[in-house]
Parts: sequence; structure tokens; C-alpha cells
Amino acid sequence: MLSFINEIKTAYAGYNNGVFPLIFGLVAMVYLLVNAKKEQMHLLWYELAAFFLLTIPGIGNIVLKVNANAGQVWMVYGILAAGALCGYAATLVYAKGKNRFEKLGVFLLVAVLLQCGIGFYYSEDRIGTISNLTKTDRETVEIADAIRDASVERILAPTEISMEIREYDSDITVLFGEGLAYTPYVFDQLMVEMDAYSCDGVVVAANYDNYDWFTEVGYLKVLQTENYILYARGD
Amino acid sequence: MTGILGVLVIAYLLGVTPLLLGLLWNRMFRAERQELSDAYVKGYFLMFAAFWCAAEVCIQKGCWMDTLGKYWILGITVVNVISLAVSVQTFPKYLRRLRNAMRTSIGMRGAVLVSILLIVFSIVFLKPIADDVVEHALTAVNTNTMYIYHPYTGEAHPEQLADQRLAPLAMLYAVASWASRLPAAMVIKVMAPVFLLPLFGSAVWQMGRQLFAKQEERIPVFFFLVLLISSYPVYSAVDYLEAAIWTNSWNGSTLLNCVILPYLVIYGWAQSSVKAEAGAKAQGSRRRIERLLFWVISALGAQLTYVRGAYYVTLIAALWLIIEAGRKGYCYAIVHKRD
Repeated sequence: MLSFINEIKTAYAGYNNGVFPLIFGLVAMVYLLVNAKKEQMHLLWYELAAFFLLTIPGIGNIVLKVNANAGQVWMVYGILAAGALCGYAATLVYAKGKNRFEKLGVFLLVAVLLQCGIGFYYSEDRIGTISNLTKTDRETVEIADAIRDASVERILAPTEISMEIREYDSDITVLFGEGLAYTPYVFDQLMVEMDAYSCDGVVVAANYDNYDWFTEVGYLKVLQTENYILYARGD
Repeated sequence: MTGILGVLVIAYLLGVTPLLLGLLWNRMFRAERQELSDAYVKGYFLMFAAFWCAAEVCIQKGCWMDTLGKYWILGITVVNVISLAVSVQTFPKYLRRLRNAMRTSIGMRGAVLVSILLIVFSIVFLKPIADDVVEHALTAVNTNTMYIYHPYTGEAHPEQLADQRLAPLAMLYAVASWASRLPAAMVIKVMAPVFLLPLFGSAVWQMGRQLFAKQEERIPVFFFLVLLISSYPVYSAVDYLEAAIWTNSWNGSTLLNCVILPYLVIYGWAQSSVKAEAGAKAQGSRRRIERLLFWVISALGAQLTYVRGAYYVTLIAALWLIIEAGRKGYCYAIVHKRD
């Protein structure tokens, strides 16, 4: 029995922070189980069957065809319609509220439960003013604009921002490709790579900056942002 | 001028087309519920299914992306003209119903107002979670191919993109970007949400309509509660891409998880409970065909968004079938026990 419980725990841990909507779904199911009327019983049967099929270790893995891709596990949220089910149960509770205070309390309760679900672990990264019509990061925009202003034709850049530069302005030729060599921490090697790819500019991470070396080989510092530095060939 | 034309093209491809397709569907099956949100959701499912069929043929044949674009625009324009012709009489009824609902229901007015504010907030203030939809669409537009070149390496390895080739939602955006001459990133991250977030809102509203068919005053409450529940990926420190409808509404797995699958679960329940109440005889053959067709279309539409989309829809449909069969068996057993 203990090993079975451990198996369930391991499977839930594998949901990769996606457990709580399931738990919400489960709570809503229990509520419906206790309070369900005739027509709600169909929904309850569906939820119970789906919950059994998708979350019991062994069966769930086969039904979901789960592999390392967490996205597939997350589909349980959709197949159970956990959000809608929670909303449904909460609306039923809301309808039973006798006054405004009680009714407002349902919204508050759902909000508090949500915060518990995400473990009070917040981030402000996804909220902020968007500065351009492609929703590109400000730093990337600065770099891309500087590349254009400096008339750099071919540029080497770290992978994490090269796609964003392309997204922002696909006219900028940022080199990319399988097997593309880019070694900003070995300067002589970087020079060889830039010559081989006929680049006239390079973006390096700020921690790999070597101003003296770049100026010695004829590159000018065009822009320095918080995390990156753009160098362009001087001639 | 080009920009304005581009915006109009996007509005046509991602806004007008699904609405007209939904109106056509409702007209074909003489839908009882003449609501714009209902038509919009069904229209999107239809559009996704049709685009999946068109895109798959083109991808398997190795056509250019602009060939798909030309055929797609030609095809939907023909269908839209037909839809316009057949629904010209019914469309005013939809508008009248919306106007009446807005006039009589404070909840409905609130829902529309809050939705508009949230859509604006989402587009202006929310930064997306990193995904690869823009990269695939951008690569398609730049190379005029479909899933031939890997967007991160530039190498021609179609076999590495086998999953994406089976769920080519990014090609819908690529076609929109190609037709509008607007940057793919702008089309996907700024313009698509203008039409996809109302799809989410409409789907939630319709779920509420099905769950609370007899207590319409509860629909706005359900709507606001689901909006509240769906908001956590915005402020959570963990990336919940598959649930992040407010930041990544264009993403296929997000659309599947937040819109298509929940809508179908509730749709299945509504059909099941209607049947239980009205009895099998009351279900005309037209309704049965509509139900069956809608499940097939939903499966194809879901396949556009995710590599196993059709499988998940089939799973939901199978579960509802089993429950339906169990209910019938139970009723049969009860009747024979009485005899």
C-alpha cells in the first residue's frame, strides 16, 4: 500500500508544478459528488472516468502517451476541463450565498486558493510596457537598432538573442545554423570565425568583453547594454 | 497605407472568416441559439479544421508556402461569399439578440467591458512566455517553405520537424503574415490575440451557457470566475505555457488546453444532458449529424494546434460515448426490472 502511495506521489511530482489545477478539479469533483443533481451527475461521471484514466500511474501514462514532454502532461488540465469545473463549482457556491458579502467571499476564496496553488511564488517578468509592435525585449531592440544604424551587414550573436533580433527585423543578417561556431571567450578563435563567416559585427555577452583586444584588431564599441556589447568593424 | 491594408487582411483572415463560417454552420443546421459568440467559436473550430486539411495536403506534397496561401485565401473567400449570401437574413437576428442581451443584462455588459479591457491589457502590458511559433512562421515566410528548415539552425531537416508538420498552426500565421505583408512577430504577438482572446472569452461564455442553460444570470459569474482562474500564469514565477492564454493566446497547445478541450468536455455534457431530458426521439437526424460532424471537425481543428490534438478530442468523445452507453444500459435495466 505504501509503495502504491509513493508511486502516486512520484507521478504527481512529475506533473511539474501542474498539480494544483488538478487538485482544484478534484475539489470541485468532490463538491459535485456531494451536491450533484441529476443533470450534473453526467459531468461528474465524465470527470471521475477521466481522472481515473489520466492520473492513475501506469494507466495515465499509457492513455496520455507521456514522455519527457511536460506539455502532454499539462493536457490533463484541458481534458478534465479543470478551470471550467472549478468555475462551475464556485458558481454553484456563489449562487447559494445569501448576501453580497458571502458572494464576494467566493471570488476571494478562489483567488486565495490560486495563490496557494502557485505557492505564493510570483514574478513581475511578464508585466511591463511593450515598447514595440513585435513585443521584443527593449535590450534586443536597442541592439537591433544599433546594428542597423552602424550599417553592419553580417553579424554573429549569442543564440538567445539572435532569434529575437531576426524576429524584430528580419532584414538584419544574424548568422545562425547547425554547427555555427561562436566562441566569444577565446578571442583569437572568434576572430577566425568572424573572418570565415565574413562578419563585420559581433555581439558578445558583457562578461566576455575585452575592449582592448577588440580595438586592437580594428573593432569599435558601438553599444553597451546591461547584458551585451556590440562591436562593429572600424573601416 | 500598406499597414492599414495589412491590418484589414488580418482582420479578414482571423476575425471575419471564422465568424462567417460559424454563421454558415448555424444556418446549415438551423441552430436554436443565435449568438455571435456561439458562431464565432464554431467558426474557429471549422476554420482550424479546414486549414489543417489544406495545410497537410500542401506540406505532404511539398508545396511552397505562398501556394498554400493563395489556395487558402481563394477557398475561404468562396466559402465566405456563400456564407454571406445564406446568412444575410439571419445575421440581423444575431445582432438584435446581442443588443437585447446587452440592454437587459448587467452581467453581459460587464463581461464585454472587462473582456475588452483585458484584451487591451494583454496586448499592451503582457510579455509572452518564450515559444517557437514566431520562429516557425518567420522561417516559413522568409524561405517560402513549410517545415523544411529548422528555425533555430537553418538546416534542411524536415524529419526533425515531424511533430510540427502534423500540427501546422504556425502556417496559418505565416499565411496571414505573407498575405498582409506585415512582420510575422507583429501578426502573431500583437494582432492575433485581438481575435484569439475573444475566442477564449466566447468559448467560456458558451460553456457557461451550456452549464447554466436554465439560470442565465449565473453565466457572467461563471465567466468572471474562469477568467480569474485562468489569470495565474500572468503573475506566477513558473512558466505555465499550456495555460497561459493571456500571454500566449497564439500558441497551439495553449489554445488546445484552454479553449478547445474544455469547450468539448462541456459540449459533450450538454449534449448528453439534453438527450437525457428530452429523450432520444426528440433528437432529429439533423442534430445527430451536427453532433457527429462537430466532433470530427473539432478533432481536425485540434490537430492543427497540437500533435496529439485529434487523439485527445477522440479520447473525450470516447469517454462521453461510454458514459452515454452506461446511462442507456442503466435506464434499460431499470425499465426491465420494473417489467
